Amino acid sequence: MFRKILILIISISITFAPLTASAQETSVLEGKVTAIDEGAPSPYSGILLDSIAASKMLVDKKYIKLELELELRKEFHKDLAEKRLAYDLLKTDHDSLRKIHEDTLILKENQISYLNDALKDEMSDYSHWWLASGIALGIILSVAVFYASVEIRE
Amino acid sequence: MRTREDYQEEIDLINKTNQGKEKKKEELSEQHKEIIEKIEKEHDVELEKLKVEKQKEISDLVKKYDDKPNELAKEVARILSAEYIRNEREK
Repeated sequence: MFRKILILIISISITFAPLTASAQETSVLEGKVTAIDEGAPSPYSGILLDSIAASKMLVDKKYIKLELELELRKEFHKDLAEKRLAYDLLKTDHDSLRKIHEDTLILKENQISYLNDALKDEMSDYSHWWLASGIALGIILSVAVFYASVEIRE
Repeated sequence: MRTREDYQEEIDLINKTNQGKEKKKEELSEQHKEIIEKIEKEHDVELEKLKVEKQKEISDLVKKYDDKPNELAKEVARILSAEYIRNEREK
């Protein structure tokens, strides 16, 4: 039982030890800056930096460029994506309009050929002339028959 | 004479094409959203890497100049383009 408790305590210690260490390291890397007054044992009055603050100063100068470059790259890619979206949306509109235009043209052409065929059928249809001729012939025949019968009676 | 069916066919065609267009636009917007998220994520990862590198470099510098504060002061003076004044120990 005692061994189990011991193993448990050791396991917990091993698990959390690195976290504590890294937390300490981060707090240690905060750096210190203070002012020095004239008269204090220093060559001139000014600001005193400890080694961490001074190192940060050196490193910051180098990394500020890289950070800016990263930020610029991100903004550039975002801007590029925005422009590409705008282009793709416009292209979609354009393609859709072109499709409507092309399909409407096909429909219209079909309609025109249908109307042409209807017109041709209409032009080659002589039934009304046959009807008029029949009526006229009927009238002439009726008059002739009537005239002939009157003549015969007389 | 145009029939009602002809008009209906034209209307159906326009509606169908418009539906396709709207669907494509939605897909494009989704893709754009994913691209932006990817860019942000990649940027965060790169920034985090840079922070880690920076912290490591600071630690290395601190270790390097641990017992040589004068050297560190010279380096700071150099990057600030300031004059380096030797202290009492150096004199």
